Amino acid sequence: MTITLTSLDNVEFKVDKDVAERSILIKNMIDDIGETDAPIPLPNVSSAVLTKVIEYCEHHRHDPPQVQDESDDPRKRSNDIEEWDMKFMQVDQEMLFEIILAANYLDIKPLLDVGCKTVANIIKGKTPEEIRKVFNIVNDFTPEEEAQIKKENEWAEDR
Amino acid sequence: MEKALALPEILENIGRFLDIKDLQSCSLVSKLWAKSMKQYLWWTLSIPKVIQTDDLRKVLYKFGHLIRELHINGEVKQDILLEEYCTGLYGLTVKSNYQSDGLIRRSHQTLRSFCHYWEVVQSSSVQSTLFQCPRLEFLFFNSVLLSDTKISSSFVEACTHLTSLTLNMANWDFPEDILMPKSSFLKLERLTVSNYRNLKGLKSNMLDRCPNLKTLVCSQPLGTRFKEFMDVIIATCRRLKVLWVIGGNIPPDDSDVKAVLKALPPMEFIQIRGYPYGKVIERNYASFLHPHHATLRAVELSSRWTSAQIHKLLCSCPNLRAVFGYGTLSADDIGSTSQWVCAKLECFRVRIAAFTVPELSEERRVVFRRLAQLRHLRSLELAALYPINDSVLTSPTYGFQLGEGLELLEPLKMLQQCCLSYLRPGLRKRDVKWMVRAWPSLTSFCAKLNPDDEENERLWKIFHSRGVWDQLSDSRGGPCESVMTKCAIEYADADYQPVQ
Repeated sequence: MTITLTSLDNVEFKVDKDVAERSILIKNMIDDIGETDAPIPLPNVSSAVLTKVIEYCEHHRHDPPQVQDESDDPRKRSNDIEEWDMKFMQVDQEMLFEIILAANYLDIKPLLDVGCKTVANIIKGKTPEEIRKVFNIVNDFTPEEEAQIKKENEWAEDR
Repeated sequence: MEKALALPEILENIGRFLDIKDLQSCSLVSKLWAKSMKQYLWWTLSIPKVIQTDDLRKVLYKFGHLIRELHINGEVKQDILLEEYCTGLYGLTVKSNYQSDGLIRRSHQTLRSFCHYWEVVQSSSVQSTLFQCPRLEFLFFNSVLLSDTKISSSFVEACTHLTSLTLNMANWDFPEDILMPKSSFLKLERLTVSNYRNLKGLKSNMLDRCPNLKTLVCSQPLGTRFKEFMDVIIATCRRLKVLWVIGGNIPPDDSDVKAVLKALPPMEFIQIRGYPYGKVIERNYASFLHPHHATLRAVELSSRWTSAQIHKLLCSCPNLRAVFGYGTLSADDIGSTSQWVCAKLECFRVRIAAFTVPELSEERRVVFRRLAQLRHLRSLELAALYPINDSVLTSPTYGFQLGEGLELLEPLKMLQQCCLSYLRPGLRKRDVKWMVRAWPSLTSFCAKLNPDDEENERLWKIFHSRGVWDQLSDSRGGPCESVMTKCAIEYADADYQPVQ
């Protein structure tokens, strides 16, 4: 069966149910309201971003569901991105963050993680100033606060 | 600013994938970033041998509750009440005579792993506290937790939860009598045991009790024959996948090794090394590994392996993840018609003896073409791509250059680490630029890039600007993951924790 999704800019997307249900948000909606022909509005996602998200979900439609074991160490490596995912994430920075926001909103954990890993790879090896520059962030620390964090950080080093 | 980066939950999720150096940089970006990175920045705290007590107290007061892994490397003054601050530990490692029962008690509900390296026998109050932790899975004792005559009942009880256990039996030995109840190690999957002397005691108290053992790292007691020792393992460990035999003072006969390897269940990693009289004997058991070709995930080559044997391994083991060691492959074998099936290979370390005639560019391309099939490769270490002798070293032969075959390695998209020795001629600007473009995951490159020091410097600047560092010689160390320090056994058993 197919589900209709409506983007922010009112474009309708018809997708298979199992593809749409990669999004836990949509899955829960369908579970709640039952199967329906009425389109599901996604007022936070533009059609350009939704196209990408659906492309991801279609490629990963047969992936086994992720089991979140709370005893698992949540820290993971960022260098194990699959080849297909890596190519999929080769987009400009604006689109990258739009995809992350959409994955967060739609609750698609694996896509959110791939997005965050991609950002982590951009961050790697950069100085705080370089990071601010890349992401256009304003430094709101006083010099004293900065000095204090630096001092504390010495403890957090791998020894 | 990007909207996504204003959301703390997204920043926190990015923090999961960063190592400590990058987390530190991120914590200095802005107040929001500092707050979001805290959880992972303070995951591990290692207390060094010499400390500024007041500074430590301040840090613990602020961040102690976030610490999950605590390493105590030296004396900690009793008035620093570690247990007051660190209340949610997952792991505790003690390398001093620090009395850890208070800490264990406070992290009682969360503690999963406990490592104690100190040579002094632990007090019974530590034991009785430790063995009541309901989630304890990993236990490492360098000193022995047991008294001379009997095994403490709380240890017996705790063992039913354990999945990993490491025992260094320096001060104690297994008694021959059966002391452990029948189902004591039902969940145990990993066992490391060394310095014991009584093989029968190991069998009756440990191996007979571990029906689910997958990984065994075990010393062979002095004086026992290899066959006798292995018969015990074969008879008891029916689900074994990973075996590392260390020690033993009598080198095994080849026929014994052959029979033993045939009798083992399908294995993912096997390492048998004898140290008769303290000397490592390199043996060549390549041809005996045949029964395990379908399941092998990691192989450590020795210099005694022939090129044909290495090639055959690559052609017949579809599940290989890692090939380590000092084997040498010749271009003749690589160029033969049989195909490599090891498409899942992640780590490949080998010498390639080839190019005795530098003009044979086609021979070179065959090697590059074969390497290009290994699409999951994360770590590639190639040594001596041409014969090492002085005349060759001084005269240019060929390098890892575009036009020489490098361009064929374009499909290696997962490559993170590349280690090459004796690059002659050196790399050029376009080779380096091509690498950072073609291999987006690359973070570490070990080689002298160019014999000319100034050119070498310039090339490294290109690498550094793209986040690629020389892990071995840059003091900065770079932000790369230490794939290369992962030992072969970890490729077969991801949960194995090597003991430092």
